[in-house]
Amino acid sequence: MNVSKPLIALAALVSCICRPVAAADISEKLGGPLASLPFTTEPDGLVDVTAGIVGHSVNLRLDTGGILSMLTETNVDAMGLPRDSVGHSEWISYAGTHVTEYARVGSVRLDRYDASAAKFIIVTDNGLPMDVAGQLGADFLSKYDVEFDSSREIVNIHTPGQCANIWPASTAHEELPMDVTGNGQVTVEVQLDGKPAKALLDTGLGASILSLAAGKDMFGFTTTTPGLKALASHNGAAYLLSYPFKTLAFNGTVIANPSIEIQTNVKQWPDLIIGANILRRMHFCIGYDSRKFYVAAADTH
Amino acid sequence: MARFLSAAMLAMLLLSSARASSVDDFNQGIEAHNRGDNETAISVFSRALASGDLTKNQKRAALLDRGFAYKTKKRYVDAIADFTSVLAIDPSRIDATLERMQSYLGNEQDSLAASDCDTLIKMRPGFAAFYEECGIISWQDGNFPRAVSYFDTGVGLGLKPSIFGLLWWEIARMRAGMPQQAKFALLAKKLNLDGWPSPIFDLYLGKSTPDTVMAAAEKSDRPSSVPGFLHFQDYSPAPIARTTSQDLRRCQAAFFVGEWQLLNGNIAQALPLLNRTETYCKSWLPAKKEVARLAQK
Repeated sequence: MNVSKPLIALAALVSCICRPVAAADISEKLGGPLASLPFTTEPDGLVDVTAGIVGHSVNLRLDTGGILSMLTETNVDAMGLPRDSVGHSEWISYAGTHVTEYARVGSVRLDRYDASAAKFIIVTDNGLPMDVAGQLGADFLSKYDVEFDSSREIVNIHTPGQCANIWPASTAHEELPMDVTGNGQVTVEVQLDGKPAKALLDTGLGASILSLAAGKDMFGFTTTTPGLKALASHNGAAYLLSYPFKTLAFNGTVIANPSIEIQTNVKQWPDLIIGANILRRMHFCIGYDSRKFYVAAADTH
Repeated sequence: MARFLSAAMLAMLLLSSARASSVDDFNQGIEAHNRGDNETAISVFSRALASGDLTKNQKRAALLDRGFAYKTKKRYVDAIADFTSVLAIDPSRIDATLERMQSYLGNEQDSLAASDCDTLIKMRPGFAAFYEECGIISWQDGNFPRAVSYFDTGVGLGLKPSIFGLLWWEIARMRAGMPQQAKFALLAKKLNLDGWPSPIFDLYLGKSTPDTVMAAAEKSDRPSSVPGFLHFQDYSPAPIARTTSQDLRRCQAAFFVGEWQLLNGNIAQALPLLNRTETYCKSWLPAKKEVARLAQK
């Protein structure tokens, strides 16, 4: 006898009694995520999903490290979206260009789910690859729980709180406390070769980066540290280094031989940024509302 | 039965391990691509693709990146094969079409490049840069009236034309014997240019001299902006924008002043300028084709 379906239905009913929920919440209880979106891996390793905006099908990059959602000029024109000026008190710059306008989007269709209205800053066409019309940044993503399932190549958009239900308790995974900044960027505590570090999770950055200052503090890097090599230089001064890190641990979920570049001349916050090159080796869910990061090996389902 | 199950489990484990290895190669290939290491990209993507274990999505990205690497190494035939494979998987890819077009140009298959360029226009009919690209291909081919039709459309899109699109429009119209000086002046005014490349516009508007343009190209303004991200920090590490923009400016000056000399019948002054582009923007096709055309005269 299959008892799981009635139990799910009962759970949904209890949920309805306890608090008023939108139709989308109920459908999630019954049928999984609000939207299940196959992703495309772009040449730089970042991922985008197909979304519908005023009847147009467009590819949008998912960027948990990017503060604002955006659309390119040509795509805003092609879709005939209404525009608003960026307020005088705001200074927004992207790809070296001052952003002056927003596009107002009534709703964004993700799979069968209509996400609520959003503002997208309008950027020059040079700001994003040709096949990408824009990006969904933290301002948009942080309204949901967002699951990246790398091995199935799917991004699931859940109602807040649903990350907790992705894996049964018996499945090996980790739940880490997570900070969310006022801009929606997320950080977690990780251990890099056993040393604790605060890390920004950034699906919009191809590489993972550690600042040299942090490298010195954490590992005592000097010019003679064995294994520390220059990856790129300018006028004889290295601005990018590599080091053979052994492990990056999210508590019990451990990434072996993580590829992390070391920046010598760029101020960054926080000291460690974990980009798409490492994130695509994991199955994770960002619980913005619960401030929890759920993570497991890429093939854990 | 138990033996059969063990064998099946072993086979599954081996398959899973092989797949993991291919995914590792794929990930390494992406990283090599991102840091511009073409040799490694070609090597690890070739291994990953040969395994047959990549998903369709990974295969498309691997072929694209290996194609970029081949193209950078001027292995145009290999690049064209990879971009064609990408388009077989997903015919809507703009990047694969654009890269294949450029590879065709590098391989001197101009008619195939022109065909891809027309496809790009169909993909993005409102994107002026593609009309300019197709106009330049026609111009390189010596088909100036056809070039004019592309530049006309490109210049007419948007609130104002692109800066270099308008310069190309002007030289194509003059070469085709269809000058529209008054319209050129009007459109140039719309650009409201301040700084480079306004000296080139002044030359074509009859307000300046070739020497003034060449001298202006040597002046060093503030460096061009480097790409940034909407994060707290700018990850672009290489402080090379200044050098690049300076050489690019010299290249633009040499080319457009060279073309101006040619339009005024001064082949002896034009040729050394067009040849000089080789120093600043090596193997730039429009200049290369123009020099080849002059050599045939």
